[in-house]
Amino acid sequence: MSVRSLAAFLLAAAGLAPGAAAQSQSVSVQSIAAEPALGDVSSAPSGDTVFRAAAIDGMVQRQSGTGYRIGNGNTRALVTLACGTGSNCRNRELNITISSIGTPTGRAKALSNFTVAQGTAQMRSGVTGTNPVSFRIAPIGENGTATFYVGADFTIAGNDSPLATGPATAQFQVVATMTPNGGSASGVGTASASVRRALGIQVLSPLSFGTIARPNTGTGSATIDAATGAINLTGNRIQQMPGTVSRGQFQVSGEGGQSFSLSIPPSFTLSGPGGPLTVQTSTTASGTQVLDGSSGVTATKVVGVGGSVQIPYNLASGSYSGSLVVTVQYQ
Amino acid sequence: MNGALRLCAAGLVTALAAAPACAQTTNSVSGSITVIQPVLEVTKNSDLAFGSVVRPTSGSGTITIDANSGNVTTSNLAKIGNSATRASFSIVGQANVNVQVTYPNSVTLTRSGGSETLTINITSTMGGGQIGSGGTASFHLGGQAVLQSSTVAGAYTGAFNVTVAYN
Repeated sequence: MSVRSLAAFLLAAAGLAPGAAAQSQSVSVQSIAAEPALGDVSSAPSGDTVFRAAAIDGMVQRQSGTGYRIGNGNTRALVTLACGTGSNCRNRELNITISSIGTPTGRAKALSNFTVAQGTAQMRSGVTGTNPVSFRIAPIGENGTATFYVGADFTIAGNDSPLATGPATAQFQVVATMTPNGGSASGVGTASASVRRALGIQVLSPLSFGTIARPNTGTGSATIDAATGAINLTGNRIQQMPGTVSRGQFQVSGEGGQSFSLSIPPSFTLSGPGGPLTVQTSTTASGTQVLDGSSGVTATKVVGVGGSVQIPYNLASGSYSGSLVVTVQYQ
Repeated sequence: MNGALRLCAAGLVTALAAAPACAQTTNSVSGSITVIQPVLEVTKNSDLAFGSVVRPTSGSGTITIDANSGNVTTSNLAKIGNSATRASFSIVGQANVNVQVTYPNSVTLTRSGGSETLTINITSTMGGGQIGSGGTASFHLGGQAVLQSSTVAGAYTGAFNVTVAYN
């Protein structure tokens, strides 16, 4: 809903308000900016994520959960009130009440924990409550306007929710009432986000060199191809023994058509009776990746991990193990 | 899980300015290798052969092959020619590592074309030892055969296993 059409609706609502004074002496909610707008957001793998947009400066901070904003930037709603002509506009203070309203869409849940910050409006009383939140401002004056900012907790459901990804909105209502017994007006603001399902990483197979008889002189090596899983040995009398050899494989899942960064460390360590052994890693993909498909569906990408390890002749016999931490993040 | 938490905490330090804190998704791919000692190669260069001997005319006689020197000595019997040899083995394996050689103390030989047997005793230059710095070592087996005047004439043969393992 654009600001312009919202304002038109609000003026009409003001006219219908019971006990309204003459139009010229009525307050109106002139506009409410369509914020907070979180932009692209990743859901949490499970559970809600609460983002708090502060009224004072629009800074967004995550209060709980493991979702995250993919972009950044401050965002808060700017509410503009207007008054016409007449003594009421000059003399009467306004009670303002802000509360959650309507049915959220997408993965959004109802707004809560509203905060307010002064714009051009003169705050006349302490702010009470959080949903609704109430406060009083000085008279706006004839043909005047007054502004204040609204912040809120914006809750985004996680992947365990049946709610659809994509556009997510939640609304709040602002009611301004002249006091004593003046006209009132209300308007609706919309918080928005574009939600992607959380990225997940499922490990399909470990990077396993199996059992290798080390070389009897010098230093040998074992290298597993990231794409094929084939193992190649070098070294004097080095030998592969029976047992499972596999490349590492994992599957990244997330929102179709979206890009993400994929990070695999260039090396990791295997610990055991000797060593430690350093595995130089290789991979079938790294850096920026794009999930197949389009927004609205789950897409996956399988990545292979290979590695190379040096095996000196005097390496202590035994089992060596370690792990390689794979990291993905929406871009 | 621990890894994810650690990354999360580390991320906070650098993420204060711009990037959303703890926004990464992580998982661990495990890696493993099992290393065992190098494969040993044991090569038999020559068999333990007592050659041809004449059985004693009375009582018992012996023929002995010294494992260390390869020298052949006899008692109360005569050898024919100089074809008696100690067995010779060579090892390729991990340098400077101890190995153990196991072999039977005695071996039963059977007469070719018959069922008569002859027992020989085995000696070795190496029971336990160490592979040289070049990754090689060698050892020899000798033995002793005791023949009776009643021993049936013929060719007696048998096979036995010699095992070399890392100690």
